[in-house]
Amino acid sequence: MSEVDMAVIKPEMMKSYIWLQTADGSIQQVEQEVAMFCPMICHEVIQKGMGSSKNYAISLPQRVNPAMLSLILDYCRFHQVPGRSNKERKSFDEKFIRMDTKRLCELTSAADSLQLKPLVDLTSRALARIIEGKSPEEIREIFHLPDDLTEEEKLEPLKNTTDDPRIRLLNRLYAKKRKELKERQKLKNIEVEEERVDDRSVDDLLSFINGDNGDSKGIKNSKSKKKNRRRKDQQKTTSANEAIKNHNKEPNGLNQVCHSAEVGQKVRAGVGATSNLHDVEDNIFDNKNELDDGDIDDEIDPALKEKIDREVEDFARRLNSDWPERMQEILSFGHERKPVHFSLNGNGSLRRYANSEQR
Amino acid sequence: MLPMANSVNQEINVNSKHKKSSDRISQLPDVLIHHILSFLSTKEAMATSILSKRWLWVWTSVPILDLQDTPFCRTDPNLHFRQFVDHVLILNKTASLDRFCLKFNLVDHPSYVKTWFRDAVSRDVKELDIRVHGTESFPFLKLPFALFTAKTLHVLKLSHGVELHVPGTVSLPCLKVLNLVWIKYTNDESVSRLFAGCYVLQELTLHKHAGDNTTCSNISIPTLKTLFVWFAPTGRRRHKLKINAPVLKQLNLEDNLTLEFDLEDVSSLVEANVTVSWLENRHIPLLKALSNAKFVSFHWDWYAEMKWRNFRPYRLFLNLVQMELHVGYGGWNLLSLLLEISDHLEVLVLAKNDNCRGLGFECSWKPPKYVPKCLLSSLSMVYFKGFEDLTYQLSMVKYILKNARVLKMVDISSNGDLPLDSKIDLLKKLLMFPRGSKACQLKFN
Repeated sequence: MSEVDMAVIKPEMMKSYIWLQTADGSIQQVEQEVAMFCPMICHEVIQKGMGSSKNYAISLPQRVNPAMLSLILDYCRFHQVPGRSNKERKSFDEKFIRMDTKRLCELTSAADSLQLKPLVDLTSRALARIIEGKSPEEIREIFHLPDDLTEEEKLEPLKNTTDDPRIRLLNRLYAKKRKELKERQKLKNIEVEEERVDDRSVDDLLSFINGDNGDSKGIKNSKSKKKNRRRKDQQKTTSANEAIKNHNKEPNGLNQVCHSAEVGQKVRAGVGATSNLHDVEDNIFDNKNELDDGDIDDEIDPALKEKIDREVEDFARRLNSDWPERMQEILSFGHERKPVHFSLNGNGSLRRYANSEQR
Repeated sequence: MLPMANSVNQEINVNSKHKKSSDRISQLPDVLIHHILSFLSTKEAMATSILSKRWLWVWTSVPILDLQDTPFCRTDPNLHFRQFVDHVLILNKTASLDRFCLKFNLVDHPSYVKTWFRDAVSRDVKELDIRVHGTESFPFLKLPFALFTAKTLHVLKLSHGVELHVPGTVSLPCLKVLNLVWIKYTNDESVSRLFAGCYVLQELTLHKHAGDNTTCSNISIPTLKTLFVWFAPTGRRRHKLKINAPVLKQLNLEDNLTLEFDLEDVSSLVEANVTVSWLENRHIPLLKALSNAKFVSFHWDWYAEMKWRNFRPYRLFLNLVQMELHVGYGGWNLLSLLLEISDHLEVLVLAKNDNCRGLGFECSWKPPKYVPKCLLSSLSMVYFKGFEDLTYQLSMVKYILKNARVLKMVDISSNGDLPLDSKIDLLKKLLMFPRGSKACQLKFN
């Protein structure tokens, strides 16, 4: 070649290319910077020195057919250019992803085999968006899924798991708890509910109130979302405060002070960690005596009570490791409450666990 | 009969074969299906279990749990959600959780929530995102201490009805990102204990409000690179903000409280975006601390007379390359001050804050005593957004056009309040201003 000829060589010819071979045997060459955008190809080139000529073409994984390769290279060609803005890239991605679901799945698989994570994320998100919010029939229709589950498997796909004793117990507890909650709703306005305040809950409340009182001034001007909730808290704490003051005077006075039974609910809630386990115990007790019946006897057979105590402890141990500590709290707590209960009720029953349902 | 049956059978076979080959998604390896399901909430992922045999148990190995109590569960509030979460935790077999996201209402006493968190921590969870909506009975959820010694946690996000109660030593050796949004704190010590236990924390987002039980925000984190702090608008409650972050690169601060600033060490700062409602003297220490930054944007609504004697002359903004001032009601004189001390400024963005649109007509602007060095040697681009065709604004533009020697472009956009003919007049006026730089272009829209 003469010097003139050399000078005429176009710059494109000086670009380096990588040779790629797909599973069907066809070989093509791709601009280096585009191909190197795929980590798998990059690895082959750098670590193994492959791809420099036709004979040493990089064999691509089977999941990458020529059609998918072409799509992937389009993606790489756009994104490997460094100067593009995020907006441009996002816009390209949105247009790029518009294809039928079959191709989307194939593309996901191909991109995954080339370790091209951004494209895998893009296609996976697109597939997730397709699945989101659709009924099973619609999804089966779109993806051509076989409807090969038996009716039973469909109706209760999680049924096998209810053999797990924890789940069974939990289900029973939840059912009872639901019943109890409903009954409590009915009994919300009963005075005695409010009067079950004891030392522990008073302490809880006082510290809660003291913590909140300092903030009351700042709250008025707050434009934050929490404004309304804070006001409610304030109201609640002031009325609870009054409730506590009057607590030791006369039980009846409480009714007038408390604006609503909700305060009573909260006061009871101030009881803290104990109330939940407390209810659970009751439920187990219900369970043992009358399985499907919500009524509970007033008198407890002490022997039965022991049995129940043991069962509760066993259950607690199985479900949650710190429940035994909670048990301690309740048992000691129960002792404190008895006298209060007696004086307010005038009821001679030796009930250890006070319960709204008995009234 | 038989041939018929055969052909029917053949037909069925062809159909099922056709279906099999066109069911591309089920052919994807488990890992990819997990990845797809990870972009759905766990409820939706669980729902795929009735699609086909292939999908029956795939959802139980997705390494992401996204559990949200949607309004549709309200018939029997929270009992359904609790049952759902318990079921999911028992059925999901992943030993290594990438993400655990929990958003729910605190209707019952939160003792059961402890189990959920224990479960997540025992599965080596990497990212925890918790948003609780307290109710009247249970306004806040105190997190179990086990969370604060989670060895694998990289990202922790807490918001709304959470109470940060840290009674002991914290150890979060992997935590890089921490978000505390609108939560309550048991005391100031809880926060400092938490920060002390984050040995590699890089990004912190803090949204605070007045009722959250803290009097001071002490952000002393030696590894922190990015800080977003936002204080909700409230009454005149004093709150102290202390920042000691020697490798901090980016600071985004919004001050709607009366904050007291103590920026002990932000010497590595590259970018700072500050938004305040009232620009006052107490912001001077803040401004001084930004002296090393390359990009600064300052955004304010109201402006009180400030004593600039405390500010100059020692601290020069030698690194400042781009400055943005979003001015509210007034305070344009800050521009002159900043021009004087930013010797290498290249890009200047001025904007009239939208909050104060139509206000501040009576403001004025005093040009710097001597032509600032940056106008003579470095300032090349100037943008003015929300231009209002007011005397002082015109004089600012005129001054810059006249004195900037290397100015390449001045881009002025009005805020849409100006009628078309006054826009044309304005453009004429602007074009008539003498320009110190021959190459300077004027853009107007």
